Amino acid sequence: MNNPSLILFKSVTYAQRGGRVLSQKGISSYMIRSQAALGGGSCSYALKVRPELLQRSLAALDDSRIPYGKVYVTDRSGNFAEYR
Amino acid sequence: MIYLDNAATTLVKPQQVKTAVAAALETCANPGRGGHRPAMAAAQAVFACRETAADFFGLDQPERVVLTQNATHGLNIAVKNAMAQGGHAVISGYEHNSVARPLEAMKSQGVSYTPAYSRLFDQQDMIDQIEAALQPDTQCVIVNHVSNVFGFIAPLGEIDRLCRQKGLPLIVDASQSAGTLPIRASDYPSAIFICMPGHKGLYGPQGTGLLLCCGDGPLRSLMEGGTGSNSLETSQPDFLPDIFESGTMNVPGAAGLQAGILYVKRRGMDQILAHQRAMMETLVQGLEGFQGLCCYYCPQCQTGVLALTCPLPSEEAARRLADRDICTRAGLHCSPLAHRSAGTLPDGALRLSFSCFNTREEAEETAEIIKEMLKK
Repeated sequence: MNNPSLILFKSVTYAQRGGRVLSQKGISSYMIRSQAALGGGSCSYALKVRPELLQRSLAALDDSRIPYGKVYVTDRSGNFAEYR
Repeated sequence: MIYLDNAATTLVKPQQVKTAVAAALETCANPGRGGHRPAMAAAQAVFACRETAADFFGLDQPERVVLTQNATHGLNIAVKNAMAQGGHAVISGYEHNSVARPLEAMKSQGVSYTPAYSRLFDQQDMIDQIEAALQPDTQCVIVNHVSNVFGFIAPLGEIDRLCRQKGLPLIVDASQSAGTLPIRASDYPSAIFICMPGHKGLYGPQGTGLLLCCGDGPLRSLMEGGTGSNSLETSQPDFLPDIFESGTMNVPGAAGLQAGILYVKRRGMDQILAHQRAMMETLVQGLEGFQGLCCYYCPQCQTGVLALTCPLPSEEAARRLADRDICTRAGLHCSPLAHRSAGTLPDGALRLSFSCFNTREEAEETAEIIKEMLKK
């Protein structure tokens, strides 16, 4: 996946549930353990999604009331920038 | 061997359970702690168990399914959360010590409780006695869905209705009913916690249990430690399931439990209950008319758990049966309250409990051996 977006979750369970919701909406995602620095210094898990699917993904998570944390997009050099 | 101690633990497990446990031992590491393949496989095994249980018990949020060590673990969490502010609890007269002892231990924190003793196999009396035991400061009602001694099914729907009328939360001990009777969390709106083991009617391995967290009140952890989440904080996460799942989890157990739930779902609880009752009926018929023997039998409000008393002390009867390689349980079954309700103190009773793997031949042979034993 080129320049993926990352949606962080406070626990592996929420990341898994988020992944299940996205899958039900036809959105592919891939769960990874995220860098502690991205998670505010805490261990966390994230879903990688294609950048063009990020908005839809966040809307789906909101609809299902699955809490998520920070969201990152990557630039062409692979650097992470907070999405909002 | 004839194994009739299934109310303690189902010994014969479906092949799928054994396969799942073995596979998890081979492939799963520590869930929620790493990003490598075995860690992710472990996280997947645990989440699959949560999802399967949530679906089976009618919860729409898998994170509300907490994996525990056993039912006692879940009941301790439930009781200590519900009674955290002190006050009074009403418990049925058929509760296990896994309910009575946590309450007893909380007496120094301002907790009191009343066991609502009621007649055996009299569902209306159970409701009436629970209502009569309510006090102005009652904080919750705790009910054993099925008595581990007598198989007596509590009228859970009516008790839930009573709790709703009174605005009281309900805690359900589903140790003997999970996997045998249908339990949908949404059918019991007053239930804040439903606790169960994995190793009885769900046919999972020992060391597994489920706590269904149905309420929305504040939660307090029973034990604190690493959860793989909020790691920068030294305080315990306040969200489910992490608040109740500190330390490395029993991943092979979770994998086996999921396989067990799927087995029960596929086989059908109606069929399982009907089979257990048919085995019990065969046993009771085989013992019918035998002098000095009392079977506590009421099939319309009983699962496949049969208690009986005879001229021999129950422990002696169980020992003699064990000598013939028939596995039963005697004594008080960690449920002195149930024996007090039924009038079977101080000796307790001999308990024979069936699983979906017992056969009619086993029930017939057991009846013959019991009669032979008592003739001597």
